[in-house]
Amino acid sequence: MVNRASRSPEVHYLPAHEIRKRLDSREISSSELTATTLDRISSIDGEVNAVLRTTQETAHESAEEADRRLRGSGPEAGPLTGIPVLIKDNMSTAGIETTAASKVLGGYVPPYDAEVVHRLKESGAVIVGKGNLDEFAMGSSNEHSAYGAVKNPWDSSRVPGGSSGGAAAAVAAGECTIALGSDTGGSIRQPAALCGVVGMKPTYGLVSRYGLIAFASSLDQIGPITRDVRDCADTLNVIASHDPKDSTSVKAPFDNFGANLGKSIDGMKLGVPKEYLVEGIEPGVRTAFEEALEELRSLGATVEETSLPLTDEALAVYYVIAPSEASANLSRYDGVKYGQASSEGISAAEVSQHTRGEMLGDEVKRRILIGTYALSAGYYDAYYKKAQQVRTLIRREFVDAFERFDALVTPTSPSVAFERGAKMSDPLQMYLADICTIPANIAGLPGISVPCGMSEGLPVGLQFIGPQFGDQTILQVAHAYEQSTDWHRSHPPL
Amino acid sequence: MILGAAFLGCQFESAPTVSGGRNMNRLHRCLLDCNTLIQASQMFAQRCLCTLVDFILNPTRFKTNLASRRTMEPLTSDEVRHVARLANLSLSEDEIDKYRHQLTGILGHVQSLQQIDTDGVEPTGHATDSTTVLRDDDPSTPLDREDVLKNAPVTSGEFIRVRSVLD
Repeated sequence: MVNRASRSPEVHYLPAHEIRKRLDSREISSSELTATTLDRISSIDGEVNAVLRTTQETAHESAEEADRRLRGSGPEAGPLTGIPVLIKDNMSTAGIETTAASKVLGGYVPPYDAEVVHRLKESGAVIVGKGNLDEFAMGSSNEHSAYGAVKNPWDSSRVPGGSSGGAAAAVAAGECTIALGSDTGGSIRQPAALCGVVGMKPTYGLVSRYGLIAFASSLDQIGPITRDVRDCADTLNVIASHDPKDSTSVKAPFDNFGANLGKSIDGMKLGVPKEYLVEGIEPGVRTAFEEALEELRSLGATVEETSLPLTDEALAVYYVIAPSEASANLSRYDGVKYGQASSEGISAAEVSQHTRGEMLGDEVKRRILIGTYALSAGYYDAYYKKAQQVRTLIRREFVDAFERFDALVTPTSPSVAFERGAKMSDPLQMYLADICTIPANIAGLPGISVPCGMSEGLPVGLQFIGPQFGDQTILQVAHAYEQSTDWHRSHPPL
Repeated sequence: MILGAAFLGCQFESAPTVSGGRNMNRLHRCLLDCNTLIQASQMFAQRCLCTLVDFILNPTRFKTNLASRRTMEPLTSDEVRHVARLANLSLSEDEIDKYRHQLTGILGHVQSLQQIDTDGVEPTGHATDSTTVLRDDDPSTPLDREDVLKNAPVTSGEFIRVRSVLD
């Protein structure tokens, strides 16, 4: 418990809604806050490697603009006005290099902003930099970045989780107040859990993917990583929109993600799917999880065990569908239109093969090969179509469960942050650790992870999964839990 | 040897993301507005290409399917080479050997799907059941050509330059 000692109220460890009070009272300006944040990144990020690049110049301009708004000139200030935000580097930022942590996109400068980046700028948020990630968001440990592994701020020998490991580690280490991540099989929630912060993947379709460098389009969803649940809801209110530029974008059937924050969860029905408490779950995670269930009961919720028998198959479905979609999406990195090209090869086809062979990383190549195999002649029906059919059955299983429960509650990850290098030689073991987060992506459901304890001096995450468009409900129950504990106030000794 | 100077200017996709839309060229504007369509067409194109290359390289393969290899036999090096070729990836011999084992393990794990009865079950493409969305064919300002071209490794005037496409 030694790591829980540091609880100073320094501004870099405050949630955005508390910083806003200081901005409003003129105790601090956004310009000062931005300078402090950039200083902090330059002084501690050498150790963490969460930030691929800062955006000094534009950040200072945005901060000055935010200060004007906070003083009442221009558009009305919102909850994120003047707040330092880090963007995972698989989201396009106009004029700022965007690499998805891949060599093949080295030097690529997008000519336009992702819709979420556009919306953040409109809200007055100050973008301070781009977050490290597993290359093309493929990985669970952030060891697959072409620009170096990210280290867990709680223990630098451990991974921060992935693929939004830079985003989660930066929030945990006070290098930004809010970060945007993307979640294809748990890539927001798992690193949030392993770094002791809040991370949410909203219902598929609520946040536009326009400008998100595609990994697996039917699973990818952008969401916030924050210090607490209120910031999470406030960020979603800014970034969620129905966007005609993303045809899978859907309009939320509600206006305010945070409408239920502060409401009692007395009488709420929570289900614990027993398949998520896998055999290999660490004792410390199980203990923290069981204590969290007790806390939820004490708040008036009923907690009941249930069963989702297809949970294991969700993993198999994922490792067919995600690589298949990735193999198609990543076929565009051929050294012609953007990024880097190999100097090897005589014909266009050879240059393309060498570019991909030389500049894509090990995990990316592995997934492209799996996906190409699964989509190739003779195998398509047996792999891809079969996985899509089982996907339908998994969705039905969740629909049935949500007739009995308002939300499901599970550990976010069966383990705390593991040692760097521990799973690199065995990709299948790395994949199996995503068992608790993948099913929500398969079914397009909202999921949130909040800190719920410590084990071996490392944070443990608690996940709530809601029905489609049940985003407000999981935010409500996550907030109620968070407010009755103080795990979210812990931060690493940095 | 440089024969091809592909006319890709501001055309095709504006950036490496699945979402097109805001700045499409005139030819493709009405078609490319929709992610599902792009993704479906990418997938379809990939399947067609895979099928074609597969047929040319290995016609007997069409007679086998997964049902006959439910217990996963180890992939051969030639199978990995074949898939790498379909995926447009050059691999070293060491990589081929490594991926042969790793792919066998991963594909073996997903064999469990074969045990599930999916007779008559509709496949799920997107969890939101979204259907193809079309928009009006209204002209809009495209991306700046220079901004787009400066990301290409080799350019020539208003063009992206590529190596010889045909022998």
